[in-house]
Amino acid sequence: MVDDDRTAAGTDEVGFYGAEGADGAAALDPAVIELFNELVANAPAGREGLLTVLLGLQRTFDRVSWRIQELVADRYGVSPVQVASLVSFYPRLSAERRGRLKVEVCTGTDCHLRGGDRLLDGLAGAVRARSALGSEARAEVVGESCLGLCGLAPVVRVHERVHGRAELDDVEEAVRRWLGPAGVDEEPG
Amino acid sequence: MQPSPVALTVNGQRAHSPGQRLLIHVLRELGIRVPTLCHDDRLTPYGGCRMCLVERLDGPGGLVPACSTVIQEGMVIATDSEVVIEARRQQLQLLLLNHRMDCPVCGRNSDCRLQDLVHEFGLPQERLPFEPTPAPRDEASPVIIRDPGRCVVCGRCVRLCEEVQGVAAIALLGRGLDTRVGTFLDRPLDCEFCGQCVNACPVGALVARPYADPVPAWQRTRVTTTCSFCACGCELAVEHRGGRLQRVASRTSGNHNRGKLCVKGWLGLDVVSSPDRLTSPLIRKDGVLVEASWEEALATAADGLRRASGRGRVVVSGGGRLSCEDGYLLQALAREVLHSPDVGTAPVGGVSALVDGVGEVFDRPASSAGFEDLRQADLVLVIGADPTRSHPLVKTELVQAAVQRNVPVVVAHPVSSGLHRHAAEVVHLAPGSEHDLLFGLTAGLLQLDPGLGRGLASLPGHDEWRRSLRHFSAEAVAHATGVRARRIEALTARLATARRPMVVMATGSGVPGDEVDAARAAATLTAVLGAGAGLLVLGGRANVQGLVDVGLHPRLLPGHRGLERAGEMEELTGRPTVSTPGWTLSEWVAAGPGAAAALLLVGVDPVNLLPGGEDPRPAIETAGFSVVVDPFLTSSAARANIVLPVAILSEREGTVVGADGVRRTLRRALAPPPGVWGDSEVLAELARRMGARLPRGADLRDELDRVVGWRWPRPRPRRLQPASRPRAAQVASGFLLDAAPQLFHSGSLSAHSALLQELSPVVAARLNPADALALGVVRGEVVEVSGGRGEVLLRARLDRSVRRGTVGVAWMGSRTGAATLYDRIGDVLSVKVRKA
Repeated sequence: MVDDDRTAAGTDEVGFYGAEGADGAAALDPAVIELFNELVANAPAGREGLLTVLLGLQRTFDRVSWRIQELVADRYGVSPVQVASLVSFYPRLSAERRGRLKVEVCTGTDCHLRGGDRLLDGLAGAVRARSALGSEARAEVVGESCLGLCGLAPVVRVHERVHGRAELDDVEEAVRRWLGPAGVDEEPG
Repeated sequence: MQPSPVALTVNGQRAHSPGQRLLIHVLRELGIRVPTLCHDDRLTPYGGCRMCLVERLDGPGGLVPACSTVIQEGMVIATDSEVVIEARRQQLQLLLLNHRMDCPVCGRNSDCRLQDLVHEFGLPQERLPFEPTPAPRDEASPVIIRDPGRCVVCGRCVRLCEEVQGVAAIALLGRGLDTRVGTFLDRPLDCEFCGQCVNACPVGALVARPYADPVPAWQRTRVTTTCSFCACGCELAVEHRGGRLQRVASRTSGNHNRGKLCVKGWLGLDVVSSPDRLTSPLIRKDGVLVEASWEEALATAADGLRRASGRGRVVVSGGGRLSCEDGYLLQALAREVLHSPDVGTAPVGGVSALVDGVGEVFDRPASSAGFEDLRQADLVLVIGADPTRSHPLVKTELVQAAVQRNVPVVVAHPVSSGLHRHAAEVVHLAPGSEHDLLFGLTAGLLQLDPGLGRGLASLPGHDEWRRSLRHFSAEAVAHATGVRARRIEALTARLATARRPMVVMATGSGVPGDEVDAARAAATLTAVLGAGAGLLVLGGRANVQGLVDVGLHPRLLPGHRGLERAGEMEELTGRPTVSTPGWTLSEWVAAGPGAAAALLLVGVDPVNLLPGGEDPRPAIETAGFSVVVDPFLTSSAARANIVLPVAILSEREGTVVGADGVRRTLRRALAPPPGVWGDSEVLAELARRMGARLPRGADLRDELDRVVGWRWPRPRPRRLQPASRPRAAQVASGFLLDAAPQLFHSGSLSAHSALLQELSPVVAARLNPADALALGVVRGEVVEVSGGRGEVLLRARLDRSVRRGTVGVAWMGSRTGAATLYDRIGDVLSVKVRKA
């Protein structure tokens, strides 16, 4: 039978922008695809779910790799460069791994007034110093425009955990704990 | 429902307009110039460049972009206030910061929207402290050079590629000042090369390599003509200086294609300067073709044809690229001068679909819908071939319908298509089962809503037709098409609720299935759907509809007259014509060697066009005398006694009729090579040498107007044809051969374009990369495609648009084409593919 119940989006066929690379590159690890399918299943249906899935992928793998971008494009019936466009636009998404640990310091007005900039400088210095010691673990300290928790200013988020009314010493300690011997697992794909 | 009219005040003047329109359109209608870089009427409002800012003096007030503001009752707008001018001036200054101003060496010098704005607002007095972002030129693509240093990030290219072309090969990457237009992984551009991005670029950031260094705009002459690569009939603006091609573009408004072109129309004009072109007549002397004077060639050709017409049958055939004038003269030459009924259009897709399919149900062999109707449609069903490849303009209309207006487009093809991403539904029906699907839908509709067929009850053939539909139970149709019954039911329900459903049927040699059956079924379905529905049959060549209109068909006289109306023709023209039915090319070949005393082929190459089962070589070689009129020495021309060269594409004059039934003008934009004429001139000269006077110039135009006129109403159903019983689905074992038209090559002409060949060689086996991997084949390797009547050896091309389990091979190609494998046009062929 040549029946085919799948419609344009959601086809698992290799379409115009197939998951298979034009050069016939090897397929992705099945474990990655399974995880991806799970993310898609839990995200809002249709195109609205695209960004949710990208954020989920970023959280899991600390990046949205080119291969994964192609996978996403194929699933959502968009072209790979349109996914790349989203990934390059949103600061929370990236194609390259940016560091094992992400430390987000709020630089919004309230946080700024309550010492957010000092936290940013201090944490960046601490991470730099640690990297210089040859530790393989790396971390990235970024300023975020507003984390939306102005009542808790100044706010720092260390790997998704929020520290309100943050003090430099406490946050440094949290970072140090993260950068300890046990790191974040390698991305399988 | 019409939106209620709106009254607004513009620059102190009262103005009225229908509601729900964009401010920019209303302002422009009032004669107010609104500068913009990013606005494009073909795209959804964007509001990116902020050059169209106007001041709103009522309500919330402030500066609003005219391009993305919908007018409201009582709006008070100022377009020329200090505030507006200053805002635009400052915005321009910001845009110029990141723009490399190398105007004198830019190809868009004097034809640049940014330059226009600098002229209007002046250069910034003081440069803001800013280092332009370094942006290297990207020359990796064979066709499109990207120069991001000139880019103003208006995003028109990106949006056209997505919303209109449906490809999205490029996107805006990054954010803020770092935003740039790029491809995935910065790979070289690999797209359909339609050129819409280049032609829409307001500056010189996108450049077509073949048109990279044009002379300045003021030195170029622009001629507006009609593209004759396919039946879309796009308007082309051909710019040249002294006959040297400088650029091809198209106006974005005022024509039906609204600036949209495809790779063939945009770049394929290099065919005219092909070194393979014939520039002198050839005569066979002592077995070889040698150059001869026109005088000698025409005299010999006329003499040979005239003598043959006294001896036996003279078979006359014209190619689908001929203009209406050419086709009319050719049938006149055959019927009135050579007294031959054996005259027709080459068997290219669409001729039979129109004459024997649509023409047997409608009162005329023509589409009942045009391209414009696709813009009004609320549901489109696409059958036959893939318009992405065969009719690129129609593809853009379908993408726009789906993307911009959310209209469901249902694609029913055995192979997947470029519309895959935009279709609401893709039905991979069994190859060649279009007839069964369409009659299945018809039967389903009548069951769902018995009132639908009421208007047809008085038509001849109604009862027999209704009885024939009994065989189309949901199960039988599912069995025949390989599509599940509940999907067919769902599609039936979609059709039943649509107010303006359109059926688009693309044709072309190599499309599996009988196009006559499919066309009849499609016409019947639209008849049942009622007056709101329409059928658009896309012919396989530029002027298929026009040639049917002018009677280049063995069973139709000009103006769709049946042969019984030959007397009427004589009254109109003063020249007697024939009233007996004649042979088509296929019927002539089937009649066996020696069946014709002579052969006149104008723009037809039967050797490469006819399927292997109808190999015309013996018939050509045994014809006593053969004359071929063609711009190139085709396989058929190489076997002729006389070969006469002709003008092509933008060198031609006359008219062609698009698939939508609209007659459009061909204007000579480039001069043909010295000593080369158009087909009409050659035919008229041939006739003159046989002692006949056929009309030319203004006389020909008048006669065509009298005899054909093209003043027909929309075709309407006139009788019903019974459906043939559904057949069991043919299931491919091995690969399904996909010989349907390709995007880069629609006929034989494009094969002579060096550029199109570079982008996509005609002679190739196109495989899905996954299939190639399984076969152990890499790009460029030789593969053997075998099945049907034999095998062909081709180089493999990997192409993700090819559906898995299918192999794409062009129909024509000097006996290496897929045609050689087929017994008959329309066959469904399973083939084996292996590494050679």
